[in-house]
Amino acid sequence: MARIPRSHRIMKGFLIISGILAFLYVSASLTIVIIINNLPPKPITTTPSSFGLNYRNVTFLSREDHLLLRGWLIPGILPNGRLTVARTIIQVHGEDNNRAMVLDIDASLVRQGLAILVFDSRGSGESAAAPKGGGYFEQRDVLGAVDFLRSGPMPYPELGRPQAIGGWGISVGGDALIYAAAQEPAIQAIVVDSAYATMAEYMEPAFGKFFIFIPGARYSEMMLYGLDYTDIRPVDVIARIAPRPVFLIQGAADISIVPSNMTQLAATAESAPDAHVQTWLVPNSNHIQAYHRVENTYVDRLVTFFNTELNIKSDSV
Amino acid sequence: MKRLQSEPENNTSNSTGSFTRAENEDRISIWYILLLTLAPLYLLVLVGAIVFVLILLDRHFISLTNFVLQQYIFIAIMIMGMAVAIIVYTLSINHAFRKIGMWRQNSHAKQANLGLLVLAIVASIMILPIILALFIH
Repeated sequence: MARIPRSHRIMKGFLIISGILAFLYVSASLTIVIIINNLPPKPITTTPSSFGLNYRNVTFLSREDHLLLRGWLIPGILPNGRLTVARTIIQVHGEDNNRAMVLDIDASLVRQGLAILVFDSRGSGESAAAPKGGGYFEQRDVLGAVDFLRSGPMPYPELGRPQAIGGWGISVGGDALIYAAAQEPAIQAIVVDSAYATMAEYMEPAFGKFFIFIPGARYSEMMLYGLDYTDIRPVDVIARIAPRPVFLIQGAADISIVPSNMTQLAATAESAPDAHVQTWLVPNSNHIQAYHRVENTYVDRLVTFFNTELNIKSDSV
Repeated sequence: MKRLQSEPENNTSNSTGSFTRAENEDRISIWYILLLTLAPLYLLVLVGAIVFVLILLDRHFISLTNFVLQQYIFIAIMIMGMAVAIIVYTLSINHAFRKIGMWRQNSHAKQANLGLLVLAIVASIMILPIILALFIH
């Protein structure tokens, strides 16, 4: 039997190793993307009634792709004890969370007279399973919430429809809100807490030591879900919200979405004529922790912002 | 005289003919070598293209409201695609090495070396995206 030359063995080894590495890389990239988009939703363990609040379950469809979304409408409580939906805030939670994410803060806002429509974004809580879009696909959920408030079956018919709609988004929920507000004038004022300026800024900290899979995951995501993360750039659309006011909040010690993201968003938002932009850098606060770090101040600033910017007829209050 | 004349003529025409044939053989064998040794690469591209088309069809025909079903089909396509890709890659490499071994045994060292060189390029192309991912992300 002829002896296999050494060069053949070396080359065969090289081909086998490169093949194994390539197949492992492709498999891992695809697996990461499929897992991220199919994570089991976090269960909802509290309801507004845990905070003594009156609320109703609501369902509505996302705009454009018509996914079934579930949420709560929590009417605001006026000083005289009456309920109101005159100023309604659409609250958009962050990634891998659900509508109960900041229910304690929601309760504080409700007690200050602001109604809250809080819902599970696609793929979260009890809403329909769907690929996650880092805020890009989720803008359709926010727009579906606007459609619901404007023309859907209101669970409190006696309270009428909201006269002014605001938005409060946290992390990628903030990015979904920026995208939605940029195209929907019915959203009159928004608060965005810990949002990224471009998704590319978010990817490296999100992948951490597995950064090598970022390009593989990018192409896998493009193939499987038709989304290229480099195209997700809320910073490119935020200026379209003007003259409607924007309030940007950011933790100064955020390591997931670093404070420069807020700086970029604010600078672009302010570049529009008649822009109304406020920023608040919360000291010593990590990602989406500002509301718990300075809870009372946080609630006060949100209430002041929405009461000032959401204009309604005085007899409704 | 005629014969002498004709002989060299015939010899010349024979030697030109065999030279051309050898040249053609060389030319054919280069294409054959490329076809054989690039097979792991272009067959993988073909498998990838088929997987991509199947995924697009899945996305097109199964709406987002049936997301779970869509995901199961994605996973099935991926697993099958990966299995086919591994089989195709392994078989094409083995086939290429068998041929290269035969060429070497038949004293076609030039073809064998060229085949190995192309396989080295194939291996480098396979690993290149991972190396690039280390630096560009």
